[in-house]
Amino acid sequence: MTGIVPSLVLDICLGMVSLALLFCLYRIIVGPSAADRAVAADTMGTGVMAAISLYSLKLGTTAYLSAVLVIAILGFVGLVIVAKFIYGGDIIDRYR
Amino acid sequence: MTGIGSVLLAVAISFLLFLGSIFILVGSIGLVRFPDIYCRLHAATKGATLGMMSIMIASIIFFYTAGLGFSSRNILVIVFIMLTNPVGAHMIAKASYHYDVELWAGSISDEWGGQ
Repeated sequence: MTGIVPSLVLDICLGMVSLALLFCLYRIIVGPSAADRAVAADTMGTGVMAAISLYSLKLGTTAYLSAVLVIAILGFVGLVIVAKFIYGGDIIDRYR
Repeated sequence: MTGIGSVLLAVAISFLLFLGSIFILVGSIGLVRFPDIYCRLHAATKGATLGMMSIMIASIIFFYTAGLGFSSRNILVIVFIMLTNPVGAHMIAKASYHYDVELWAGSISDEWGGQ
């Protein structure tokens, strides 16, 4: 099922998002510190969300939007946990 | 919806999709090219947030005009990304400064370190 958007537009956008995911993967592999890798993983999660949205537009169904929401929540929770771990060496801080 | 209206709608949705994809791509290029973690945060967070919001607005317009109803989950994703992405970037920047990740040699200001 195709909508009113031409399929070529969706393919080009998916190609650009895939290239962005490759750049994020490079930063995850090479990145000098742990914070670099965490930021790259979060950006990669956003890219995966964009790719899922584009693919659901390509298929013309709204069934995949819940997956986008779940990836957004998991990415934020993971980033906050990594940040707190880098900050204190401990996720739940007991000594204040 | 037929004729010129449909064409205008397709042009608008395609423009928003291209804008979002280009923002995400440019943010990732900044993530590769910039010299230290703080510059990388500056590029990656803003690019990803803005690109994802453009794609979500295009998705709302697409599904509303395709007769599949108004998808409130897209609105939820936009609000969630707008709230959480800057908070996460701030926490990562503070944590990496606390962990003594070095600034770029060409940085001209370090207000927290007193320079």
